[in-house]
Amino acid sequence: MNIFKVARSIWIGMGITMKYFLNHKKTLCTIQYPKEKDLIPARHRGIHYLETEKCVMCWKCSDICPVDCIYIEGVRGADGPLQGGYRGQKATLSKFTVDYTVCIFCGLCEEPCPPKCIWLGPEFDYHSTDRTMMEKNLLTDEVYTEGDEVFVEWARGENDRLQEEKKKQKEAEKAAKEAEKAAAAAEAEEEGSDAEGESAE
Amino acid sequence: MNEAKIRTEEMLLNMGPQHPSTHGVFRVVVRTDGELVLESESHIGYLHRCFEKCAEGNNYLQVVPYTDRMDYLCAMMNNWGYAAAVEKLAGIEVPERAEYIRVIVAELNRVASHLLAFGTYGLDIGAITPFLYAFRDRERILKIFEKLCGQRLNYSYVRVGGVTFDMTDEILADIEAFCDYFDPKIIDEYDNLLSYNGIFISRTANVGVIPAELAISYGVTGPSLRGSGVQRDLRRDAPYGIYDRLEFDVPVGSGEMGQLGDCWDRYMVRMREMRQSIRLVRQAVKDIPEGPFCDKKAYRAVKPKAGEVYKRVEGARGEVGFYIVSDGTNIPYRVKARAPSFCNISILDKLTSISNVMIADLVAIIGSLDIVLGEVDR
Amino acid sequence: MNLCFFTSFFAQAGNGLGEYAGTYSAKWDAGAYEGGLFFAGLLKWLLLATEVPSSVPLAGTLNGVLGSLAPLVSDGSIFPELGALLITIGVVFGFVNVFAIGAVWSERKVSAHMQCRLGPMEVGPHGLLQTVADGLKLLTKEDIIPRLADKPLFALAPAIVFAGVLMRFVPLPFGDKLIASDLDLGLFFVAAVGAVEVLGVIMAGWASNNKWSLFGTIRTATQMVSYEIPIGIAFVTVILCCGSFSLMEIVNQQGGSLAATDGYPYQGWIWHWHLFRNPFMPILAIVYFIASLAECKRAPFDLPEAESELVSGFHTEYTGMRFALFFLAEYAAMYLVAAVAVVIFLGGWWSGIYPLDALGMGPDATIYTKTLGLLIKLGVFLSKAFALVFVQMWIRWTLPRIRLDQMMYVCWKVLLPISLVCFVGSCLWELASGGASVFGFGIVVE
Repeated sequence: MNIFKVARSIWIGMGITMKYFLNHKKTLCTIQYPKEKDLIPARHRGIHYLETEKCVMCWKCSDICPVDCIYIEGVRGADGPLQGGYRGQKATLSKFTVDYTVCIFCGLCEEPCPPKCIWLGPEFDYHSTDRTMMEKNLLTDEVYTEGDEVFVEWARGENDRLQEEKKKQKEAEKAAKEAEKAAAAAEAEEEGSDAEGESAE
Repeated sequence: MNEAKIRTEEMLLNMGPQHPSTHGVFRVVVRTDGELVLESESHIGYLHRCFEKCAEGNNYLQVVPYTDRMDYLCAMMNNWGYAAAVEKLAGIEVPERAEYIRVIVAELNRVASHLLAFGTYGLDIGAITPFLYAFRDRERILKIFEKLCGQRLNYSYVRVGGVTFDMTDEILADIEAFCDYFDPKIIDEYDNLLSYNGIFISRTANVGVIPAELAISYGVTGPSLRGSGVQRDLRRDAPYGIYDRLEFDVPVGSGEMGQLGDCWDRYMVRMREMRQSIRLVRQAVKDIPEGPFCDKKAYRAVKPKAGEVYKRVEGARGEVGFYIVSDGTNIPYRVKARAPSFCNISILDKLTSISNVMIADLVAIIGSLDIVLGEVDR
Repeated sequence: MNLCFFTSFFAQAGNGLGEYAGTYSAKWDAGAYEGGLFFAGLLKWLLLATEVPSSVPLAGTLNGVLGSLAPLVSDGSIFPELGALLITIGVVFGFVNVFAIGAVWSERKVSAHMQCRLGPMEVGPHGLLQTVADGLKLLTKEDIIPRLADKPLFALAPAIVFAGVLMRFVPLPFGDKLIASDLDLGLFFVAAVGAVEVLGVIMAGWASNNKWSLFGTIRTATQMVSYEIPIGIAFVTVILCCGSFSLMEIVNQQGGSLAATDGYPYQGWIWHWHLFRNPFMPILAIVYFIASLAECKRAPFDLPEAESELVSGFHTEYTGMRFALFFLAEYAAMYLVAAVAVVIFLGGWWSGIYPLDALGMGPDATIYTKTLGLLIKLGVFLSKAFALVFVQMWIRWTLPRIRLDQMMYVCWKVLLPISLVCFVGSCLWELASGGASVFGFGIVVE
């Protein structure tokens, strides 16, 4: 490595940095965030958005999530027994949250959705001071609070109670049907024996 | 320090998990005599995230984001390797447009990864400015990827049966503009600034020489192997996708500035590979056909028959291999990932024992092997 | 402050200027002049001129205090020389601090512009107050001393490093007669006292009880001690050519003091600078510049603080104000070696244009032309020194770091032979040319 080659290479390198120094206004490649912001492309995968009216509560997005960060609870059927909650066209939801301490923004939840109502949007700076506040309630677009949890507990209880009622009602109806059938069968037997009796005579 | 306890022989030094130059959480315990390293012992596992166990609990589609995060700097190639393995196992055909798109994004990702390797290697050697220039150019590639799939680093873009989103004409125009901006001018500038700089050459030439047989016996692949003069590139020797239709050279080291297989050779292979990648991208952009960009049915419900497959692709750091065992359900029975950095870094301990390495050289060698701890530990 | 304050200030200032002109111009011409007395005179003038307006509470008392301070500052008081001395120290220390603040800002801006980005922009316009904010932050940091560290040495090391650098400012001129103390052994003093800095660095690394700091220390010891030799040889060559150790004398000769005729004591143009004295001098200047980069531990010789290998080298364990002292010392050393290079090779405060240099010189100069000439010379000196500091920054952000054994190779096998050859060549040239510089004048060897 002779000294002239070394000196020449050093001189060329210094020329490059001097060129950038003298043209720094043209070669600038940074912007002063947050005063200047960059354009966010359309396909950017950030915080989720949900169109509540369209959701059919099929749980497909929750199933496909690789890290299980979507929590959904609700009742199918537009005239579901649940009072309150978020009434969509096909389902009444009581809980739809995404936990952002877990979400990896992979975008897998977008595709399986049949009415295409969940998507990842351009917002990316979702911050909080507390780990427990990092769940976003997509039904209200707010942070999932303790009040929401209370409501969800009540909704679960209501749901269970109404399911029990429905079950009892169904059983009662079934019992009544059975009773009717038994009565009809008993009548048919009598008629049959009558008919037999009649034919015998 | 108590005088009686001051010793003058060897010193045990811990280049701990937190160190500016170990490219991640990587621990090397070195026994030194002054500045000369007598023996080194590597400890890995600080970034182990149980990728292979997670893959056993998620179905084939859900594993794709996990593969991103193994080697996060060239995520497209990891995705491609996994997708190719599952396609081979399940017998899924990939449309041609998707193959062209895969080549374009993989080669762009290779350029981005080599740019980062170049920048951080300059930082390790002490030149701070090339790092900033490399990131300025890498930023352009990441912007293209953000337009394409929405993320800058962990794309989950290449999936079983094709790719996730279509490539629009606007993005193709952006890619062409980037190629024109990057290819001769910027890489020549990098060469003038760092590659042929006298001080850089004296730091990297004749340092960390890996003889070809040693490299092959330790399973070193990728630019680290090609730097030792071995002509081995999976894109040419075991072509996958449409690489057999494209024209490109495979640069190998030639001992130009010192011995064959030294750090400078490995570094220069990466710089030359960047040019070849741009050449490949240009060809693919010119010839890309119209058509579907993924096999939607296959993509939604992948359920390969019972069997096993091993498929490998040429990642930025070497041979990325996936060995998948399927038991007929839609959840893989076993996924094993062969990470190139894991084998590349295993040669470090051998190098320190066969040649005279100083502490500063140790940093240069680790930088030239270009490891990513995410894939060393998975 | 209202307008009254300023009008009364300038009215008093007009009075004071006469006294300044009368008393101090005589001393200036007499040549028996110490820079401290100059600054003392200026301060006395300011103290006499300032009159606190009566709207400020306790105005009368403050005026009385200021008035009584004035005579203490300069002659006719109890300790005139001590006052002048303290002012000198204050001025030099203040200059070092202000320069460090400005140098850190400009280093960040220069590096940013070379790297396609902007640098500090938030604090103050274009980030000018960034270093002040950093300094405040360092002041308020917790002072951590590692448990097993050698506490006295750990605490003393930054002070010794900073003192070693600051002491070298004593014989260094800032302009014509603007010097703390014109030592007869000026250049020798600068070279010798630099060894104190090495001692401080070694103490810092050893006392940290950290193997990585120890690495930095060992590298520093070898580096700084080795590179003092090419620097010393450069100094010796210049001293031989000039015949004097005193820095002011070296600069005056570049102004043409040896060709003094017809009342004008200095007749120098740009080709009278030592850089052009003989063909070996430019080579020697480059050798000195490279060796001084190593002395300052600047890239490409920044092994002692090699950030990518040793985190921070010998000052890894230092936090807060102790670290700030190391930082200050580094930037002070940068200015120092640049200023010494300007003094011994680049003509000091002489701009190289004779009419500009002759302003304020000669028998018929008024006090106003004298002051103007003095300010011009100060500006010229500082500009040249700052230009060299910029070149140091430019080199740092371009070049990678050199390894320890290669650094030793460069010192002992490249710089030392070259500097010795230049030394011998300069000696022979001086003998052959009869002590004259390339372009005309010089001392005649008897």
